[in-house]
Amino acid sequence: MGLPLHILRNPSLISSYFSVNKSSSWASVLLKAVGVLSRDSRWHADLLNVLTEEMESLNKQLNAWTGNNPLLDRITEPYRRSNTQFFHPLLVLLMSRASRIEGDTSQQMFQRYKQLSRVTELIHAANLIHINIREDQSTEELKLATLVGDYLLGKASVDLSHLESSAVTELMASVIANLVEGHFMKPKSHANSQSERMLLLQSAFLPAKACLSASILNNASAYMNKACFTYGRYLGLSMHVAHEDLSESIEDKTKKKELLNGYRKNAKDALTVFPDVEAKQALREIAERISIA
Amino acid sequence: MKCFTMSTWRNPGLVVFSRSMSKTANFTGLIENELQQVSPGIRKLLSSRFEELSKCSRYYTVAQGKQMRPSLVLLMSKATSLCSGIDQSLVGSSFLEDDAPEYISTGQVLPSQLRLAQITEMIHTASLLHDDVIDHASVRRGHPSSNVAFGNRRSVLTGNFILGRASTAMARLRNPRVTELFATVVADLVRGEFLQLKNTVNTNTLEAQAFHFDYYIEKTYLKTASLISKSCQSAAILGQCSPTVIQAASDFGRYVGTAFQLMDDVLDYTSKDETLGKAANADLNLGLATAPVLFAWKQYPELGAMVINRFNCPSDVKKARELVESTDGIQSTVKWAKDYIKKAHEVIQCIPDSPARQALHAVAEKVVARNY
Repeated sequence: MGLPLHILRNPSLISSYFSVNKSSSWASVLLKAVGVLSRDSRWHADLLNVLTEEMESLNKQLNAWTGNNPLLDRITEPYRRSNTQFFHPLLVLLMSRASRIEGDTSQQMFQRYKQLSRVTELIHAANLIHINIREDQSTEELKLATLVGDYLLGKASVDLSHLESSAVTELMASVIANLVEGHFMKPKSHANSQSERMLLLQSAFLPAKACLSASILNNASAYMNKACFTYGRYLGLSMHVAHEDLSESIEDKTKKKELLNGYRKNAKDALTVFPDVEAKQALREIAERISIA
Repeated sequence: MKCFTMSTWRNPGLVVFSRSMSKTANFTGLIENELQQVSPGIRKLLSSRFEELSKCSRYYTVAQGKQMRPSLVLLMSKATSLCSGIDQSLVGSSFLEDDAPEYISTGQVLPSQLRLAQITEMIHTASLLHDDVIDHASVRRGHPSSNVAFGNRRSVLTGNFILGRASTAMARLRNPRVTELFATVVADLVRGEFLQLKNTVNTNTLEAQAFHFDYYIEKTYLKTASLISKSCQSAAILGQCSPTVIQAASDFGRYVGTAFQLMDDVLDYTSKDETLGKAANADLNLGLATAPVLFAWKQYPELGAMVINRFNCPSDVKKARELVESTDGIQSTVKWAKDYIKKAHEVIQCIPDSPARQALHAVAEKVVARNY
């Protein structure tokens, strides 16, 4: 399970959550990270809360336009049921804080972090909806699935343009292409490097480029940019390897564990340049918690 | 070719466009070099190591279609470059008194504007790929549509791939204003599709008729005119033209785009399958009421019920087509399109006259000269 949405909407519930649940579960680690953000300033936790509300209002808009079509829920299910819902926004917000240069951040900056995290979530959602299109679906379902994904991509495009950062636009637009490339790539289990390319395209470039974008918005140093990208890249690779359904090409379980450990270590190593202790700790714990299901 | 004289330039109110020219104008000669670079350039932007993906993404770039959108962008670029381009005098020839009176500039196309033409065509192609799935198409441009050729999922994903590459190329133009315009085009295209999902007014009244016309025009703007308008506008922005010229370019694109869609809707009624390259009466079969049937509705109230029911009954499509043919629905639509083209001719009068501007007039005129 991913981030418990009802708690995201009400960050004050976080501490009571921990009194009931094991502090080492995946959800707990994520919530702890949310807690870190909310201690930073009340803006950060609110950002995730507002983001969930915004996604909900997109859903309402789609319902209005389709006359509350019952197929809508089925179409959005691959996204709503995924355990990575709002995960990338959390990463983006942590990275925004971790890559921040000294000084107070204006509310405007927080809005930009939120916009970026929304772009990331929209691209992620659209991709999940589109790659789950099946040839045996009814014409109506095909039509709706295409349109819903397109709606999200359209919103992402507009949001991106409002950030007015050509570099971020270039990065996040390339992610849209990467996700498709990853899908088209046929897994060839004998060629390991090709395998990794597929993992990168399918699962690593989205978090990597999103983390880098957060750093770019902060006008951080090239050093910091690289660290954010590297962390996101290896975190994405780790998550792909750990998630059993996706890793069909990596058969040997020991090999899989080795690969995962390697990726996790690389992710954690990238964090050394981050000065912010709390954000660094949260990111490290997230990397550590990824394990083979 | 019409001669470009200073007196012509100083009298922007003078209509220099002549109808006889439209029939013989070889306007593509003006932008031949650039137009030839559009498809190869797009293929480069879509290059990928994965053969399957390359095959899919190039599917609609081999059968080139009319290339109307890139042509408009390139011609607009050339025409507007005479407002503020490298050949445009700052003080005027009466003070310069140059000894090179024969020099007539035909204008330039900037590399960024050529790239813009490529991006415009890519966005259009991506929308076609998605349209094929949304409309459950079977044929396009005389060939199997993409959903038939490689499946629904791959059609949609390929469309996303092209959008991604187009947006990446757009970012590299480093112009936030143009980037924003194109982002709104993507949103417009989606919104246009949603507008077609269902009718929101289900009464058979005069009010409902008017509403349907408004709805139709809005949908036409979102699905067709928006891309053409904003790409022309962007060409002028990249050419660093004045706000007046930028607005004129935008309006020109909007009028031509709207007229183009109106004529397309006419052809859907009047063409046989083979000439069209796609199934005729596709609109009726999709439950869509376009201009010809909306005009005919004014004469035959019973069409209202069919419109509201989205031509659901098996006999509706045939009946509607017959009713439309017995009215002046087609002619009214063509006249409406011609009105838009007239506005298009007027609005670019503020751009200096030139072969490129004449070519824009010719393209506009060609839209309503399509055989129907």
